[in-house]
Amino acid sequence: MNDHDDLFSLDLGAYVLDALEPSERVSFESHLRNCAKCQAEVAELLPVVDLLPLAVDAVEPPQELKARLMSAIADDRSEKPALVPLTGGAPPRRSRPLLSRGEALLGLVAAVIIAALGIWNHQLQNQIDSQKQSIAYQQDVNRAILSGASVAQLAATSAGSAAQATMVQPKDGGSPYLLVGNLPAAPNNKVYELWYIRGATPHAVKVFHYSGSSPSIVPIAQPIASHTVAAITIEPGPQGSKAPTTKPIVAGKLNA
Amino acid sequence: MVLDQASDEALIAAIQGRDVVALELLYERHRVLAYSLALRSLASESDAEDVVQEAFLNVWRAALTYRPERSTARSWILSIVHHRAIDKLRGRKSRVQPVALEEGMNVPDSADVWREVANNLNGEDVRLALQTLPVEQRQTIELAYFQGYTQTQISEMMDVPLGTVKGRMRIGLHKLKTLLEGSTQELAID
Repeated sequence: MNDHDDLFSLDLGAYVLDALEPSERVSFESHLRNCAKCQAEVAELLPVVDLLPLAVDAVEPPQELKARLMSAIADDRSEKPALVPLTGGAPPRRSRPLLSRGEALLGLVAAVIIAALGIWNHQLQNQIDSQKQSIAYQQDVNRAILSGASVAQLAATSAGSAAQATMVQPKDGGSPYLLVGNLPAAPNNKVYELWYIRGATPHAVKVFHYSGSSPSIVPIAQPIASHTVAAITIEPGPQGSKAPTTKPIVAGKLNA
Repeated sequence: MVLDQASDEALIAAIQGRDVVALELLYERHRVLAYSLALRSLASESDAEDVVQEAFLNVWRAALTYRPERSTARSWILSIVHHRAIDKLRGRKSRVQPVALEEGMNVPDSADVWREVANNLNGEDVRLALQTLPVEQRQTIELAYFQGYTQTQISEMMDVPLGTVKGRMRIGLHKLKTLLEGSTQELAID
């Protein structure tokens, strides 16, 4: 093992304990991809780290936690829940010419509930679609990893955004490509644009469209080279921009 | 197969098929360890509850990413709990799980052996092994794993050179491995 390898192997314990600073982690993982000796030691020590939780004194969680979890799971299920109709059928119309104030109020409440259920149902369906996309997207990412490709995740820049993007550099040195899923809808006459960034200078890489219905693979002709960051913005279509005009929707470090 | 007699791995396979009962059973089996781990790291009951809920929701959503040949289901679940707890401690929104980067690695033949070792160990074995470590090594490992401190932060807190912290972590983990392997050998003799 040379000095370079020795330097990295010192960080091995901290790596498996997740105690490296982010920059140290990126550097170590870059080394790890090509160092069989460090890979073997990481694989040897990770199971030891996995056993550390057993050393913790056992504490029973509150029973309500299970109810909360199962409720969250129910919200997340891919089956469309049956909405219970508010009435057994259409109410008889105008059985009386005027509704009492209480009936009118009830009617208003019912209308609000129906509207809210409709919105909720729509949101639920969107959520389900988003979940399906996430799974399909993750499968694409896993396939890339299993093929030995180098991957770099671009994280959503807005809290609550489900946008997913990963830059993939195939192991054989072929052209990189971009995996995207759950990107926010681009407004009319707008397109998505991928940027490579080195220092503070963004370089336009690729303009692409995204239907929003399923994860997409975007082939990239331009090699990642020495660029350190990638980002995606929404730009005026159809040409895109020479420099970003909007805040990135996803961004992330590229592996060295 | 009756679900409540199924292995954890079989339950995760059922969860991949969107079986809620399987998720419920998996939660029942690992709730105490998951909650205890989160509570130990976060020292807040409400935060620990949030983390456990998020972790099992993650299990539900990402069951397809579980790789039984890489780790036991228990290790996978606790790893999710741990990372979420540490992320909360560090105030980070999200990050790439280290598991993803291990996918392409070579796994030595000892992996199966260690799975057997891990299955035969209990909390007392791990506690005893940790207590047997030199105190500096144990504290360093615990500060990193349970409290989420980085090696640089630990170096400053313990007022020792960074290289010393690196050494304590790596050597301590190797010693721990040897001690735990010894525990299972004693079990086999008994």
